[in-house]
Amino acid sequence: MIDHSRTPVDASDDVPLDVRDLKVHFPTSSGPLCDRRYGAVRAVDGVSFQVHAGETYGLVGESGCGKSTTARAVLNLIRPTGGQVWWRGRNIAGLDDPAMRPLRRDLQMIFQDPFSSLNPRMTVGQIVGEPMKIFNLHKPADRQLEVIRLLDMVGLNPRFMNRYPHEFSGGQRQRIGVARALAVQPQLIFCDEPVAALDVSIQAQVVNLLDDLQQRLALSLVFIAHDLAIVRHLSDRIGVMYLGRIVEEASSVDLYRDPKHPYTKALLSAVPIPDPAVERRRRRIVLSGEVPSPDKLYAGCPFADRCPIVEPSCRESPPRLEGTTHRVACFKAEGG
Amino acid sequence: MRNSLLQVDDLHVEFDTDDGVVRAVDGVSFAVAPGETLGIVGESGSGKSVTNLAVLGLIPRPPGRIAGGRVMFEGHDLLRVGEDALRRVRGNRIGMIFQDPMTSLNPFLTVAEQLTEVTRLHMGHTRAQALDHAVEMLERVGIPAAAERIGSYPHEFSGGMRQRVMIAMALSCRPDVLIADEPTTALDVTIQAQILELMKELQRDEGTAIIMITHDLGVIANVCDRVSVMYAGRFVEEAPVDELFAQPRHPYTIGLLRSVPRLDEAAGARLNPIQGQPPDLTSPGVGCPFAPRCDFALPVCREQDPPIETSGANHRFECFVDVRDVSTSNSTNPAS
Repeated sequence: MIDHSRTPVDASDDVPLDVRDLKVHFPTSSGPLCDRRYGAVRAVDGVSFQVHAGETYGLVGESGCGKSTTARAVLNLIRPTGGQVWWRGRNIAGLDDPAMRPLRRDLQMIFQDPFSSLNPRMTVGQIVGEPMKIFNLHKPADRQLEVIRLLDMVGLNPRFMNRYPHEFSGGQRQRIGVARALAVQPQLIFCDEPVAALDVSIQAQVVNLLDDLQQRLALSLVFIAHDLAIVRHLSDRIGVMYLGRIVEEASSVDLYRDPKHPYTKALLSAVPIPDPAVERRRRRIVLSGEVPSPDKLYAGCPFADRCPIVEPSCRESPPRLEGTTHRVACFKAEGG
Repeated sequence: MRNSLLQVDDLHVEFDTDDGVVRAVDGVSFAVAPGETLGIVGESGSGKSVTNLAVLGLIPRPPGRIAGGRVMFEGHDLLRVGEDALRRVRGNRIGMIFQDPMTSLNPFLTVAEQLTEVTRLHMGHTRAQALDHAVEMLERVGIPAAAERIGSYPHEFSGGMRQRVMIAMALSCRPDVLIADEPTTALDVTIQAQILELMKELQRDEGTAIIMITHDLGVIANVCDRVSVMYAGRFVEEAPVDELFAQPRHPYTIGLLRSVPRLDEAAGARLNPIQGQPPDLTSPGVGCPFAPRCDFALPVCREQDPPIETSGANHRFECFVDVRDVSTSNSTNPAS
């Protein structure tokens, strides 16, 4: 069960966020009404990772792998079914809204859709200023100055602060979302596919902005995306998710230079490289089949059905994420 | 160049909006030959989808209007043949695949009904013939247990499988030309790799000409023979795929290539975004539409329309500047 005692485990400032064995199961039912069988979609099924101070941790995976649900569960936007979320030495897993509220100053989020995540009836100045009001930051008279400073920091002309979100393009709206997250001077920001909805030429603008801010403000970022090239570009360390679990975790350099899990290898080889000469030379691992439904229970490795190097023993017991700096959950790969 | 199958000359498409007339397509010309894949790359609003809707006679009128040009297919101008003749071509000789396989399939009809409708209409199949043919097509696009699954509704298929159904439908009548509008954008990378392989394989077997519309330079590099780069309703550059990536001549193409991080290059280098926003097509200024965002712009670029320049037989671009004279430090440099 979830334990909220203040145990000073790993309370060191080096590892402000320590997620252990996080689980989010959504109940399902099937069959006719008189004969219902209850199961669960195991959206997140035992995820553990740590985020260091000033680090960008990338979470990658395909749709439905549980990467967004993981972020939401860490922030208690969805209540986790099990596991622990240690934030600065305190287990915050499953805290209710009043208890979470003060923590939302430390832990912020930037959302994928720059259209639905901004209130259309508020001006940009109000959107960015509201978090300061809620947390009673700055003297009321100084707040407008602070909004101007933040808009300037994210590359928006402060003259626009009385405009409404619909007057801005997607990239500009995403900048507004970044300014809003920064308004409370957070320590860690979850960025959930922050550039997926943007055009190629605009994506790079927002990626550079996040990169700059992270360094300038010594923020920790958790960067969630399906675009492996962008995740690699921003992240110090990366966790690869498949069916609700992290199957491989390594520094961004190691993961791309020496991927060990067969899923990571397939994923990397599937990304087309914008260079026809390179594309012709590459050998692509085309996986058969599709990501199975997460409501199935697996005795063994959840990737076994699509794995090109599967052996009968892989289906007997689930592989554990093993290794120290380069962790991998595969019986046939060695962690490091 | 080989004999072209479909040839578009100086196409203009306009839309009436509350803010004035939008020139969505502003003088576009291209041709495709049998067995060839032409890529059209551009960002949202560049007019790439509208161009191909116009080819198929699918521009909603009003508010849309074909303001000029010709679309020659088998000696006829598709813009002038009338709806009956167009219906005999569309879905029969020219097939199409759209981005979102959920909204392009009718949710109330089984896959069998939708697949057989095409061949019964265009090829005069009986119900039984059409059903046999449909099962065969589903098998070809890699749907397991096609004979059993053909009675299913679209929602019973996953996204990747639905896109396979769309491809099966588009190819049912063995079209000469296949127009694919962002066919893999809604799919995960491992599924994208499967679908792109499938399209290439079917093209090899049937000699279909493909027009591939996408914003993804990686997909272009993977499947295309020739590429047209579209910006603000115009084709600003057109070249064989290798030449376009190795020696881009239009500053917009250069900007696009530089702004995407590549998996095969060392990480950590800063991205080079294209500054600013795409233009507002309701109030086009004079001169080159890209000039306000262009690193190479000269005063003349804002005063006159750029000339059409060529480099060799098949490479053309619209620009005043010879970018080879200006140092391009970040030229494409394929690392292994």
